[in-house]
Amino acid sequence: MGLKEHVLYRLALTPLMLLVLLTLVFFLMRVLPGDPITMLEGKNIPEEVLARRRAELGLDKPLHVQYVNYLYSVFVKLDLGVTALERIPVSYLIATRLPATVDLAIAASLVAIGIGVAMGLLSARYEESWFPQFARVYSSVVYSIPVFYLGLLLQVGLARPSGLPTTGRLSPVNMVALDSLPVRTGFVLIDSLANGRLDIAADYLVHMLLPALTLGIYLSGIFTRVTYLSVSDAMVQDYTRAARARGIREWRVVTRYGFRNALIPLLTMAGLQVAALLGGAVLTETTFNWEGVGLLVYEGILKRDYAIVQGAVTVYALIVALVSLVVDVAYTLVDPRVRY
Amino acid sequence: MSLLRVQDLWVRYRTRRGVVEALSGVSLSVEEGEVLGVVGESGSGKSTLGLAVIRLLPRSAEVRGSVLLNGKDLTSLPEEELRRIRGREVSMVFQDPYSSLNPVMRIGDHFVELMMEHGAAATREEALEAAGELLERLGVPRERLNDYPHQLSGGQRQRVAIGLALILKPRLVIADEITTALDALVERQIIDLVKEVKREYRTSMLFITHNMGLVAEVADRVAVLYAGKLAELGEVREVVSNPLHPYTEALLRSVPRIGGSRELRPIPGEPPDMRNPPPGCRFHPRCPLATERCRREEPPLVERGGRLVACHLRS
Amino acid sequence: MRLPRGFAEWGLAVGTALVALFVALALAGESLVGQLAVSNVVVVDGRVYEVPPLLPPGSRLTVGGRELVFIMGTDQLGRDVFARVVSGARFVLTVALLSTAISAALGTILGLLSGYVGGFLDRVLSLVMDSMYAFPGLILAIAIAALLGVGVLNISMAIAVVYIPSYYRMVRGVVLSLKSAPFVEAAVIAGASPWSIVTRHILPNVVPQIVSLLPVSFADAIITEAGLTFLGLGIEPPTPDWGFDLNKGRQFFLAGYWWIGVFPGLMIILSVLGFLLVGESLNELLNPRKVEA
Repeated sequence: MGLKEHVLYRLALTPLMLLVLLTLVFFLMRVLPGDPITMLEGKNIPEEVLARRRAELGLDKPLHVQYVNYLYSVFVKLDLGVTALERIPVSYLIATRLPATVDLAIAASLVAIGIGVAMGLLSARYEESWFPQFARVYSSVVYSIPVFYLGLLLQVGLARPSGLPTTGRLSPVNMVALDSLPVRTGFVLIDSLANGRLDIAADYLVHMLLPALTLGIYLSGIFTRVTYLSVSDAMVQDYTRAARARGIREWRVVTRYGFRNALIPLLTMAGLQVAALLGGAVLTETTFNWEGVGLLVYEGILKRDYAIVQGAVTVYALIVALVSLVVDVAYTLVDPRVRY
Repeated sequence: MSLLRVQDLWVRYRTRRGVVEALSGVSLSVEEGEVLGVVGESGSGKSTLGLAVIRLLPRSAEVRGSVLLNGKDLTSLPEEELRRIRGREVSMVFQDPYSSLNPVMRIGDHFVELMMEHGAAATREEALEAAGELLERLGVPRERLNDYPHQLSGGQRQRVAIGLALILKPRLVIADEITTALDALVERQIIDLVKEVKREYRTSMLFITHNMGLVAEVADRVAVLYAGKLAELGEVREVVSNPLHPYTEALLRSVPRIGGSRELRPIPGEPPDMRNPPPGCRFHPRCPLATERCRREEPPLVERGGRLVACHLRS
Repeated sequence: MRLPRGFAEWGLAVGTALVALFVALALAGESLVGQLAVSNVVVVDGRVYEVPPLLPPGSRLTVGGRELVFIMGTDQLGRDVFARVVSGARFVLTVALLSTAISAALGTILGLLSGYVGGFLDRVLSLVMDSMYAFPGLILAIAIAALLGVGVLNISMAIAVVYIPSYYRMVRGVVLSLKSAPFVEAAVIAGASPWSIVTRHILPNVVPQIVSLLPVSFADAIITEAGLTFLGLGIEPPTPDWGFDLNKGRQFFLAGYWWIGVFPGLMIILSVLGFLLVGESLNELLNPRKVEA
C-alpha cells in the first residue's frame, strides 16, 4: 500500500472510530442507571417539572431518535448542548478551555519525552553501570505515584520555598491585561507574544512550570521504560553488531542504530500515552487550578452538571481519534519500510 | 611476522544454565594476503573465534589468551583505540544480510557514516563517489546508494556488506558464514566475488564456514575446529586430499564435492554439550576409530608433515 | 534461605511483602484502630471527649486518665490520621478486587466470543474495544462514576469498564492463535461442541495469561480509584479513603499541615508499587528473555 492510500485509509477509519466512541458515550449516558435531571435537582422534584425538563433536553423521545439527534448535533451543528444552570453552550465553554489543556499537554509531553528518552538512552549506553537499575526503580515508583499527589508534593516542596505560583494560569493583573489585548486566539502564549507582551508570556510560563513538571514526570516513567526496552532490543540486532564491527562510535550506535530503530515502538507507545496524558491532565488541572477542559470536567462533577461532562467526553473522543490518525501517518516518516 | 596471530584463546560463556566453554586454547595465524578457512559444525566455536578476534563477543563471554593483529594485542586494547582499528584494519561480514544493515538508513549513508567516522572522506560527496565506484566493481548498481536495505535483494545486500567491509581497505576481513543465508545460485555468485576480491585486493581473510567445499575453493589453508579445539590445520589442498583427523574426513564426506562421485554421508551423532565436554579426545563419542586411549587421554596438537593434527591414531 | 538476586527477585520479595501488608490492613485494619478513623470523639468511662484537629504527628493526649498517641497526627476534623490510612485500605482494595474481577470476567467472555465466533461480531467488538482502549481510561471512569453515583459497587463498575479491553484483546489474541492449533482442530473433527472446545481446550490456555495480567491491572485499579475519589466521585464521607482524604485535606496540606496529605499519598504509592512489582517481577521470572548467545 502506498503512502497516499495508507493516509486515505486512515482518514476513512478516523470517523468510524469517532462514531464508535460517540456511540459509546451516548449509550453510557442513556443506558446506565442515573438520570441527568434527577442528579441535578434531586430525586423528589415534581413530576411535571421533570417531564418538562426531559422534553427540553429531548430525553422523552425514543432512544434511536435521541441517538440520531445526538450525532446530528455533534457532527453537523457542532453543538454539545447547554449547561444545566447558566444555559451556556458547552461547546463555547470547552473552546475557551481547550487552549490551556493543549498547552499543558504539549509542555508535559516535552518534559516526559525529555526525561524518558534521556534516561532510556543513558540506560542503553551504560548498560553495565548502576544506571539502568536506577532508571527501572524510577519508572516503577513514578508509575505508582498518583499524579495529584505528585502535584501536591511539588506545590509544598518546590513552590513554597521558591515562591513559584501554585495555582492558576496567570497573575490576576495579567489576567485582566490579557482580556484587553487586540489579538486573541485563546492561546495565551501566542496572544501575548503577538501583542508584544513578553511579560505576560513569561508569567504564563512560570505558572505552567509546576503543572507541566507534574504531568510530565508522571508520564516519564513509561517513556523511560519503553525507550530503554526498545533501544536495547535494537542494540542486540545484527545491524548494531555490524556497526560496531565497522568501528562506529558507541554513542552513534546508540542513537542512529538503537534509538532510530526504537522510534517505531516508541511512537506506538506515545500514541497510547495520549490517553494517559488527557486523564492525567484532569487530575493535574484540578490540583493546580489550571483552567483547562480537565478542570471544567471537575467543575461539572461538583455542580453535577452532566452536560459539561458529556460534552467534554465527546471532545476527548474527537482528540483521541485525531491523535491516532496523526500517529499512524507519523509511522511513515520514521519507518522507510512503511513508506514504499 | 604474521598479520594475525591468535594465541591460546579460551572463551567461556556464563549462562543461566552453567558455563559453556566455546573455545579451549586455540592458536592459529593468518599471513599477509592469505585466506584461512575455519571450518566446523555449529557449536564448534568457529563464530566465537571470529567475534573474539574483533572483540565483539557478548558481555557474558570471558576471554583468555591473546589476539595479535600486526603485533598489537586486540584483547587488551583500550575501547577507543580498538574502535579506530575496527573497520579500518580489520572488518567483518556477517551471516545474515537481511539483518546486518540498518533498516532505517540508506545504503549510501552506511558508507558516508563509515568513511567520515574514520576520516577516510572529507565530504559526503567524496564518500558517495568512492562507495559508488566500489559497489559497481562488486556488481551493485551505483543507484542503489539511494535505496533502503529492504529494497535490495539478499545477494545485493551481502555485496553491500562486503563493500562496507572493504572500502577502508582493511588488512584482514572476517567472513562469518557469509553465504549460509543465501540460496545456492546467489551463494555461487558471492563465492566468485570473494575469489575475485582475494585476487584483486590481496586482502587477508578469516573465512568461517561449515561447508568444507567452500573452504576448498577459496582458502589457502584451513583450520578444522571441533568442540572448541583445533582438530587439524594445514594447506587446503593437502587437508582435502588426505585428511588426517577422522573428523576432517567425516566433514569432507558430509559435503557434496564438485565432480565428486563419493556417497554423501552425514556425520553420525551430535556435537557435544559444551557445558560438559567429553573427557579425552572430544570427538571420541562420534569417532568410528576411537580406542580406549581416546576416551581417557586428550590428544595433543602435533606437527605431522607440515600439518597440525590432534589425534592419537595419526600422530 | 538465600537472598534474592537481580531486579525481578527483589521486586517479587518487596512486592509480596507490600501486598501482604495491605491485604492484612484491608482485612483487619479497621477493627485494630477503632472509631477514631471516622470520628473525633473518644468515649472513656462514659464521658465524651473531643480530639482537637490538626495535632502534629507524635502528639499525646490524655483523656480521662488514658493516654492516646497520634503517631501520624490528626486531620482537619480531629480524626486520627493513622487510623484513617490504616482502615482506608479496605475500601480501595475492595474496589480494586471487584473491578478487576468484573473486567477480567467480562473481558474474557467477550474475547472468547469474539475470537471463537469471528466474522462480523468480531469486527464490531474489536472496533468498540480498540476505541475504548484508546480512550482515556480515567475520563471514561469519571463519566460512568459520575452517573452511577456513590457506593462500592458503582465505583468498581466504573473502573471495571476501563480495563475490559485489556483482557478482551489478550484473550482474543490467544483464542485466534489456538483456533488453528492441531489439538483444537482434532477436537472439532471429533465432533466436540463449541462449548466444550472453548471450555475444555481454549480456556485452560487463556487462564495463565489472565493471571499474569491480574497484579498490574490491580495496581492500575488502585490508581484509578484514587483518582476518582480525589475528584470526589464514588465515595461517601466519612468512609476512610486515601484519595478522598487527599482531596479534603488539600487546603490544610498546602497550608503546612503536611501529615494530612503525606501519609494517605504514601499509602497509595506503596500499595500500587506492591502489586506492580509482583506483576512485573512474576512476568519477568516466568518469561525470561532469551539467554545471550
